Amino acid sequence: MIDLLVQGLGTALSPQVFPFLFFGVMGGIAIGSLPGLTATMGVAVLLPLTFGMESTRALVLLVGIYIGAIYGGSISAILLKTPGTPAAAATVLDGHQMASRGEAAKALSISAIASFVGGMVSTIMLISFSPILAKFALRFGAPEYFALAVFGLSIIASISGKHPIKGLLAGMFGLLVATVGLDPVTSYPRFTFNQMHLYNGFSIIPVLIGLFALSEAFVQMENFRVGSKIDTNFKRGIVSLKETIGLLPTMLKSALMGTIIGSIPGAGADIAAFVTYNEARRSSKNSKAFGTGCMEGIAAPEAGNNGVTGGALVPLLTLGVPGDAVAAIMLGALIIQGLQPGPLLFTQNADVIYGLFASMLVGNVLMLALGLLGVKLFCRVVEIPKRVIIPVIITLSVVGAYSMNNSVFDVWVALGFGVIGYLMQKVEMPASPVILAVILGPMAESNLRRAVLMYQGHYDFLWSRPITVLFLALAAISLFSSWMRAKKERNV
Amino acid sequence: MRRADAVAALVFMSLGGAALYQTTLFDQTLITDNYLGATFFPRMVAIAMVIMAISLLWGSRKTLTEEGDEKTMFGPGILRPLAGAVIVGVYSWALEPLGFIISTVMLNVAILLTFGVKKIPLLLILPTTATLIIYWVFYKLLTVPLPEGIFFL
Repeated sequence: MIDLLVQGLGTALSPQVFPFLFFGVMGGIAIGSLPGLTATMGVAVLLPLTFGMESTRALVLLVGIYIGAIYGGSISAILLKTPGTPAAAATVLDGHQMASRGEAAKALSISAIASFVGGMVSTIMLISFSPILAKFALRFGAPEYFALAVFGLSIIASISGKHPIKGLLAGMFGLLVATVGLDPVTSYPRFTFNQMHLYNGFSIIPVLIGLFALSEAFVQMENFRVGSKIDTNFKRGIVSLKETIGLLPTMLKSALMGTIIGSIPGAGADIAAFVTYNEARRSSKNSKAFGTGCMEGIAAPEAGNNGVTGGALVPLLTLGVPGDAVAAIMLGALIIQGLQPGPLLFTQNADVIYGLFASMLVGNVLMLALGLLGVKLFCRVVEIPKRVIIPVIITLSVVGAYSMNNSVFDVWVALGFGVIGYLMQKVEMPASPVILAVILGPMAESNLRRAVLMYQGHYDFLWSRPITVLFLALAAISLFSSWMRAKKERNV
Repeated sequence: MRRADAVAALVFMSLGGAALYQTTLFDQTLITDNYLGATFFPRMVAIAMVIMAISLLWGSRKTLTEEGDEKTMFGPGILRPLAGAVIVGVYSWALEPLGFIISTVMLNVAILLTFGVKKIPLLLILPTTATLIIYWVFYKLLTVPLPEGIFFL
């Protein structure tokens, strides 16, 4: 295997392949940082360009975009409070707080390093433990998915700050929003009011753009003073080596969790980011600082969401089952290139596969280098006067919302949620629980109902399946510790 | 601020109540899953929402009597976000008939005007440049379809 990997490294660094990787990662970072353009869209948009390419170059380009885009989402999340991709929604919580107090460079560098650690760990896991991970992923049935979603949802209590009841209300609102459209099991139309646009429910991107980007633009418009800019003090520089070493356990744990979540079909980078954030907060000695701009709050979701990049390819390459939407497009790319995913792929096309693995390792190094070198440049965005940057944010938000489905209805959705997000800020209600619930609600509902169907109306699955029990126990611990923390804070 | 909590609680209570009522109108006859059904989850969420809204209202009632001062919810610049929302609304309506370039230039000009920008060169250069860059990145570089409108722009 080592020989094949060394050979793959040679391929990845060769002048015929390296430029594709470089432009893939760079393009991915740019795409990811634009609100509304997800990694999935970036890979899908560039897929047709790869049709005529040689297999390794084609796969390397797509993987580069994937790696870059997942990281890129954090740039706008940190600087503009506008997550470039849903996977970066959890990064907003602490990333923008750090940027607001003049630590944008530090926040961006943590994000780049954590994404690098996440990507490297997941690629190493992909290379070394694909068959084991695939076997583990196959043990996930409806009860496990339901329990995973409940664990993810239990974060709501911990990200609600001083007002847990408002956070929970926001979460309930998100869950209600997620039920709009055709019922996931029986396709019964719920809350659609005979409107065709509502049959598919609300797309996550316009909701995300409205709640984060447009609402923030409206708040900034209200607070605008001539000549006002976000307070920045970039002299504080990037994260130190000592701080990075301190963050390493969080990054490694989140990376492993991200890889495992990525290997479970249907659970993508957005879910991984929230779950790892929750776990980092639950297990941290510094849990009080989460949400106020703490470094762990960036390291965990960023390592978690980039951990998915390798994890999602595990079931794809070993079983032909894509782990997430990007992996599904990659499946198409593999087939177009005449490669049949499955165990035989590793023997019949070892050169291509190990070239891909090596390119992922190199791609993550490239992402780190571009991320760290670009910190100063990215920070300049915050220095642009507000009356220039706000119209651009609004335009990007509208285009991002429109481009998802080429639908003006989605622009209206973004505007509606923008107004809702603005009003929520006014009553000090957090917006993150809404997004979390919109992402995890359908997963929780459909899998609960499938599990009940599987068990013919009984609920034994809640205590008879070890992985389900583990996730439900973690959710209970998470809720209990949040409740205790809130109680302690009230008493201080 | 507590009054705002009370208003928020009433809004969520109404929303939860309306959702709960809607679930009673679900008439699932064609395909059913025999156990939880399409009604179960939204109904549970609506009930939880109403309970939490009542809890928020109760909390706001207690603190309203304890705290005398009320923070002003909206600042003096409230007209700007209001104008922003209206502009985006008009833009959404005009996007398809007018096409991306014309409507986006107009959107940017309108927002700059709300910020009190009056210099004509700035009002011309900034929106046009921003629109063309975004158009180039999305439409030309990333081949994301954008509305062409009646002028095919």
